[in-house]
Amino acid sequence: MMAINRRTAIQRTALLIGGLLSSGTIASILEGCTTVPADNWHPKFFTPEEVADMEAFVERLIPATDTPGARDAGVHRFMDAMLADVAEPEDQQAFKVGMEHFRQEAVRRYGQVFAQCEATQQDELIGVWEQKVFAPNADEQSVDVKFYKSAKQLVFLGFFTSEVGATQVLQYDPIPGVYRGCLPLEQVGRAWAI
Amino acid sequence: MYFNDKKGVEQRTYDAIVIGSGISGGWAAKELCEQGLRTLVLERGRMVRHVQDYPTMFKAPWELPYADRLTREELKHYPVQKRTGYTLRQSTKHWWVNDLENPYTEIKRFDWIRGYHVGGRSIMWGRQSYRLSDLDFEANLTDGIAVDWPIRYRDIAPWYDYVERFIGVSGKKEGLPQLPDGEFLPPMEMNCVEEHLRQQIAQRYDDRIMTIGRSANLTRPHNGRGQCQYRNLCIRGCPYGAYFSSNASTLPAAEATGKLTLRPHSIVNSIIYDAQNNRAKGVRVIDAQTGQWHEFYAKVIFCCASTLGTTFILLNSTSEHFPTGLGNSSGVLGHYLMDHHFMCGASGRFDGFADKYYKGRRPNGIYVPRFRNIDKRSKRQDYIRGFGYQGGASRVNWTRAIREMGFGPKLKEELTAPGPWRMGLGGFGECLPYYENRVWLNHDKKDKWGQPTLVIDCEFKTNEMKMREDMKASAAEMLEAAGFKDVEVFDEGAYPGLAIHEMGTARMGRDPKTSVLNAWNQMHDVPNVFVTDGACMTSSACQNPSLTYMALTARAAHHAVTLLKKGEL
Repeated sequence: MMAINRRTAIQRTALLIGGLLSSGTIASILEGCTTVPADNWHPKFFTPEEVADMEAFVERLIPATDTPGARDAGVHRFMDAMLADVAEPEDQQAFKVGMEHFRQEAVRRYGQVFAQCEATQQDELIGVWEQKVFAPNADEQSVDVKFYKSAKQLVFLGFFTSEVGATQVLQYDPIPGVYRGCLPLEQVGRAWAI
Repeated sequence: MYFNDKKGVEQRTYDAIVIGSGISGGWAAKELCEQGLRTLVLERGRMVRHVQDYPTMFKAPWELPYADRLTREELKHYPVQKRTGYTLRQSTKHWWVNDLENPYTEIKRFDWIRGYHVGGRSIMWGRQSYRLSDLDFEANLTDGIAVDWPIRYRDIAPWYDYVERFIGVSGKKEGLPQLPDGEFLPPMEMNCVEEHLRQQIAQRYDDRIMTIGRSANLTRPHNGRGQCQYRNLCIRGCPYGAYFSSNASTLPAAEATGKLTLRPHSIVNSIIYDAQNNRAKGVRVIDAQTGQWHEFYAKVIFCCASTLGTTFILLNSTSEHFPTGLGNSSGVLGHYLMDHHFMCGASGRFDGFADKYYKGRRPNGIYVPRFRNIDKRSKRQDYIRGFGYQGGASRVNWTRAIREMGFGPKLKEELTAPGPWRMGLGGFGECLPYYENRVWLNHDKKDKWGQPTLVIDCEFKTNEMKMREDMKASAAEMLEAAGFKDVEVFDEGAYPGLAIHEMGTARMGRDPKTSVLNAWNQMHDVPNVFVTDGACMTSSACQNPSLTYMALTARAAHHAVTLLKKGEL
């Protein structure tokens, strides 16, 4: 199927709805597509050391392959914003403590912070947490489980609602124009982002 | 379209006043204006212009902060509005009231979900559009409950036609007596799994069918509005005007007559009663921007401020003649509050059609029309009335990764393919009218304008709870019979208000001693006041009610103009 970027989509929409949108309105919407914010980002929830570890962590959960990964999508920044501004104080607290266990375990096992570990070491440690968290008898109230489950949820949410996750890994069609309920999968292609 | 505050009674006098600009108010405005009446529409909230005031209509997921969630700080303003769990988002937060500025009192939990702006909830509504039938209009009489509706299907049928032709409703004719067919635009498609369930139900049951939802979304261009683009972002406002809202449809039609004056930021405090002539002579309005009080006058007044909004105004319109509220000689004003009960049904996985997928985001689901208590054979011993199912099937997306073990390149690759098919069916059940489910005014708790506030005391009772058991069991039974796996029932709890179908507090009836309105939505007590929003409902049926409000409004507006011309108002 034909790829369609947002600018094309909006211009096509503008044609469809004709006089309803003023040219000024169109211009202001299109302007939103081109603005690139200057990068003066500072974490609100994580410390700089924690950001480094979480940046490495998100990249192991969803690594760059032939398509971009979670680091490219800035998922660690998304996590920081969600934890700082959306999470409830008790969940923030559990996350911090659970994250600290995880980070200290990297130092204990491998003698260096998670971000500095080899990828195989990082994967091994994540695997240990996966086993622990998804065990049938896992304690849902433990900070380790709370940290890991909310971290995993935030990574996948952040990645698949990001532009690269939605458009390059999955597919996103801003204006489908039609609904077809039963097409051969190979004709549709990858899973829809939404 | 904009109001200039001129001095003098004459400049503040119109032929008609419509209170509210939502689903019902927009229709009242259109019909009254088109019949030549100079009409003032009073809207308590801000102006919303079609298209240009839909700020999030084109936003992609990554253009919305916090993955469309609200922050902790933002949520503090919406302790009630957030209860739906699905309507309050970064992309929609401008459509919902700030609960802290709009207080009410809940004796029992009642979720009053509302938006104060031009267009009201016609912008955010679910668009499901079903006719009531004589099964519904005769129900109270048959069961000996509450009072009889003063109308039958034949009275409203031509008005359903009239409304559907204007708004555009897509759907399929099924020939069911309990869910009359309408004037439909082409139906939307079912997907593979929905079609499978439809066929299975047709083969295995002779008492029920499944059909595509009847939705006020345009499946082809209609009356100058564009067709649905299958983005499923209706709630943000549609740049194509492809679903019905006051802003896209009725208000432009009213404006085109040159007879409309729309006044936003106009909170109607009360209706002014003229005891000498036994007529309402106008309304008292608080300007939400200046805090100033104004009066406006008209020969006829349409109350379309929403069920609870209208009821508040009437209860607050006291006089020597009507000490408990305008038109309340019966004493039933504020009583018989109803809503549909829902969030209850079943879901399951379907293992076939792994090589099939869909394209487009259909803003509509499927519908299983009511099949309980419609005849002798379908009569239940455990409850009266019935429910319909809404639902749909889709393939599970990337969210499946969160609940399961796994990470890394393999999982990332797996997620590029769609997950298993799942189908859900959720019931929407009728709620009986109970005298003790009611609202009243609290004069000790005032809003920021110094007005009293509403107290709501409402609950679902035994009949609704028994029905819910069947809503769950029957959904699971159908899914299992059709080959779905791991079928599970769900029941998220039943809290009135949550279906956002509140209704019934100024009901229609035949007897002025037991009802507020007559068969024309006209007050028994004060003949130039009409109530055509959900407050008028004598019973709730189980169908989504907005289409009925529209039809009753159009019908009442024509009747009001006829009476006006005859000099009877």
